[in-house]
Amino acid sequence: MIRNEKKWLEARLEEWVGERLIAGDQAEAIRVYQGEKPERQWLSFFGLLVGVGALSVGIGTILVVSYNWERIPPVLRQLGFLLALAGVAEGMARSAGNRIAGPALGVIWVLLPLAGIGLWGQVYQLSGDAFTPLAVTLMLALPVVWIGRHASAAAAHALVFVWTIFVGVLEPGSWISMRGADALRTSWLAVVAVVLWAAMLHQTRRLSGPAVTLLLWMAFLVFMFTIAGNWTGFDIRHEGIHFVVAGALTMIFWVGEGVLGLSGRRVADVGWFATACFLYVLSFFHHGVGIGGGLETAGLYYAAVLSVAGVVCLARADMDEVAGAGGPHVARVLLALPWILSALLLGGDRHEAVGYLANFVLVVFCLYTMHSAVLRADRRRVNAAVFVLGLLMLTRIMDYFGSLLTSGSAFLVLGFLFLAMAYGLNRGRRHVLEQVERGGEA
Amino acid sequence: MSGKWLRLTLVAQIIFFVAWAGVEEYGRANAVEFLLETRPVDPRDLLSGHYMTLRYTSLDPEGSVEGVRAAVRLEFEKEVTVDGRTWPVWHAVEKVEPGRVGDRSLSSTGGWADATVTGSRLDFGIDRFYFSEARKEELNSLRGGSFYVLATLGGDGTLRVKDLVWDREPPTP
Repeated sequence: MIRNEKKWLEARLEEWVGERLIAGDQAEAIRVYQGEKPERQWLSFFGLLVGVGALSVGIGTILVVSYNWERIPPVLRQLGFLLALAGVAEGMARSAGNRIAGPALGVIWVLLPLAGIGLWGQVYQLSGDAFTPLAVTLMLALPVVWIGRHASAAAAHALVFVWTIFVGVLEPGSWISMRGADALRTSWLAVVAVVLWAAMLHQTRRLSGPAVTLLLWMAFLVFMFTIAGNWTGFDIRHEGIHFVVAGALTMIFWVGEGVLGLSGRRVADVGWFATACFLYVLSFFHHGVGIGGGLETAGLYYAAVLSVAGVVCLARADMDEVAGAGGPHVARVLLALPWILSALLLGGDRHEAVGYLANFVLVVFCLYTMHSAVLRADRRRVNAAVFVLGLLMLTRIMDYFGSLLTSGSAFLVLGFLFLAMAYGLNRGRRHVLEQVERGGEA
Repeated sequence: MSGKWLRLTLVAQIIFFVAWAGVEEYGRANAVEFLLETRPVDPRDLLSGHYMTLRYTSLDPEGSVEGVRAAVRLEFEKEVTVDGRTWPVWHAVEKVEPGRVGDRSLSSTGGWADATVTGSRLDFGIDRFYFSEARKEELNSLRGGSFYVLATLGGDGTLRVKDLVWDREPPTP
């Protein structure tokens, strides 16, 4: 039995005994019987071999295709894409009751049209704005989201929507652009943008649930701030102010429980996720980015007011869900760090330092999360922290070694490095989960 | 029930992509081919694949247009021979508002191309050239010489990139 099955069985046994469907000694007999069976290993030696084999075949296939890409006739590339599209669609149609394949294929299908548009763009050497392909992808994927009704596919759709509307508004040349000569001139386009946000919020609330809806609300508030800064007389000037506003909103939404009717657990999930995402974005600043501008602006005062509200909200928030070593005060400081790092962006030319700090803080944040999750016997949070830690390591490896990957052997070395990293992370994860289990039993 | 609607969605998406391919192929089948002088720079993009950004020196003639659309008159300028094959090279000679163009007919020596006015520059939608991993090393090794885009101009005023052509030898004065 794997851990999830054990947890499920334990919950069912308690329920059945409570409902008097089985007696307590029968439940105990079942526990003993299942406990005597050898536990299935998540990552067995055989599984590792299969993984290495699959990875090698995958890398080999990618290399063969990419090195011979130009030799593959365009029509074959296009046919290949249409076949992949049909395969994913058919798979989704046939996996309606499957809790893993259905949602996974739904997410892939939402994103596949964008890949198709990119392929068509390559085949026909098309240039143009980034907004149109994203907007077309949104429209093509809309029926998939509503017919499939998978929460993860709807979340992916919402992500593409946020990407689309920000690109459309900020990129010169798109029909909803607010930059350059094509600046948003008519108020009806602003109304269209708000209606689109409302529709997306409705869709996300219906199909993806409150956590994704809350994140979409945050994106909407940042969007409105961007609109105000670009379109009205509201003056922002310094790009770092956007980050301060987003950081303050992250803190404010920790107390969204009463306003949005979310459970404390959900709010903690969203707060954790938003903080991790924010730090991950800031971690890219070590490349050096050109953030700057004047500070004596209305935008700064607005950000300052939001920041005060955010600090007050965080100070009043219930930290029991996330507190680990050091208690609630340390947890509060950790959750305020994205906002503090954003504020550093306003203080001159320290962007690279902010990037390095964000990398360090994200590692500490994940380790702290694992520790607090052990105390609370929260396996889900352990897995989330391990995932973010793995993502950060993968990103930095690609940052520094990605450009060196000009040969197949380099790909293979990197593949083995990833395998070793995955193995190490999984060992660590299992160790922490065992601690969680022991804590739960105690 | 949902399976049926999902398959209908798939059919609609396939129709979209096939129709798009049809429009592009039809436009190219009825277009005139020529070269445009260019100077490529090569940023890399992991999401979009490898591509070069193309800059044109002969596609922004003097004059001014009101609004966000422009019609640009392209005409034959000279002939060049690259790898034993002779190509016509076109350049822009005039830009006006689209409504002021009387005869838009396309010939083997000239035609009207549509452009979007973005800030101070004209955007013809031919700013990128995508290339494969195998061709990357060859293109990265290029240092000097003349670069041209093999372009097509359709009767509807659409400019498209077909290929990148280069001559390692500097042009004779």
